[in-house]
Amino acid sequence: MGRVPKKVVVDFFFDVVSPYSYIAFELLQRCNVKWENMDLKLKPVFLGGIMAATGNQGPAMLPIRAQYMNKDLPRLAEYYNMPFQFNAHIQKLFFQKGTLPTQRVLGVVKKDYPDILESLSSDMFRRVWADNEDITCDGILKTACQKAGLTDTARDEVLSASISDTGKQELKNLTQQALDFGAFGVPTYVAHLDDGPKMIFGSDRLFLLASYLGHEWTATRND
Amino acid sequence: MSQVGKKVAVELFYDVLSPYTYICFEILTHYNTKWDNMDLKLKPVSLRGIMGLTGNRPPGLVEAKSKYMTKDLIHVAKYYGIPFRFPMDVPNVMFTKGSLEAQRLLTVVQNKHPGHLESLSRALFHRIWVRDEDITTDDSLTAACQAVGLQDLETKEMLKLIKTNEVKDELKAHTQAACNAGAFGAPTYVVHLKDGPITLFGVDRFFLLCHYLNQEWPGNETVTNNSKM
Repeated sequence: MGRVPKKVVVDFFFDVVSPYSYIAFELLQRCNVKWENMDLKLKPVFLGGIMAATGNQGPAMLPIRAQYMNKDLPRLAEYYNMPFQFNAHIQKLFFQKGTLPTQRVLGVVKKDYPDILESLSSDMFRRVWADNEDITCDGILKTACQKAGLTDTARDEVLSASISDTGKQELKNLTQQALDFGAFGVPTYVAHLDDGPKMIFGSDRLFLLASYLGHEWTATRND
Repeated sequence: MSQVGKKVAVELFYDVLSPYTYICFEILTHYNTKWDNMDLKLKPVSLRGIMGLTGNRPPGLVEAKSKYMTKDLIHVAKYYGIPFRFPMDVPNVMFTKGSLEAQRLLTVVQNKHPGHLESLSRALFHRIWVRDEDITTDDSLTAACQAVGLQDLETKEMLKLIKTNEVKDELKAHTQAACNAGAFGAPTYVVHLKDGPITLFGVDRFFLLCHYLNQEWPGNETVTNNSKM
């Protein structure tokens, strides 16, 4: 009685390039409002680094699987009532410029301005997977930082820190953390339970996370 | 909006070699008896054939993924209350021994003794994924057939048939049909809705099947099929 329930730390490793991370992120934000015993910690990583380190390949590399994903993703988004649109610039985002600049900015924000990490991550995810934006364009990160509430000075600090060696190292460290927990892709989440950390992979394993935290998961469309 | 009396055909393309398919098979067969609007059709195929035709690679080949799967399968099976135990030598069972004989047998059973298809499939799944027993030799297949009540004579006849080109070709044709429906792995299930078929991949898309059939997702309600063994 009167005892504050112990919170369970849940790390969420993500890269905004991953559409299934977007779905998991949106779902987790809903859960975070309802689940009082979850202490959600957002951890931006570089998916390219995880794939290279584990020898894994993105599911979309196989044409027939990519065709399936083209149907699966809109189905999931529709089921869960989330805005979703395929990104017309995805080839560029995957293979040319990549999400390194974005993920590095998120890494710096996590360290220096943790209060705006969730809103900035949400904004970047939506730009890619709901609004069909090309986030590799100059100025997008600047605009997004401002929108998330950073002052001009803070924004400029974050942007220059993100291309410094420490900024780069920050993202490397977070990526290594994910690898140490056994990640081979994203979204990966780690629930730090009393009997040790439990690593879970995929937007479709939230029912397991719910059961670990003692919550009902009804898979309803507003879960 | 319920469609009373109107059943939706759901085809499950499966191979007893795949552990996620085992879990999916138990879930789908369980709810097939509970829901009045689902008409489950079991379609034995060759997973190795699907991988060959599509160029897909088994997820277990990435070491980190394989490590994760050994835990994930146990967690998911436990969630649904389905008995599950890894065989001692997974690479030998999955990559060396395979399941061609078993899938050919199921192909024959589908034609000759369709009433035994579900129980024999379950018996073979259980041999691998619960009791670590062989499914490749004639003796093993005979034991599985006996356990589900097939007569010795029928079994002998079927074991002859699985060595024929007709049966081999039939399994190949079914495997090709699964790929034509969009399969690149197992479990793949196709929901035949009025406005067209929907192909779902993975045991973890079961909630979408519930949605398409206007059924509530039953969560971690225990899945039991033992009565039919």
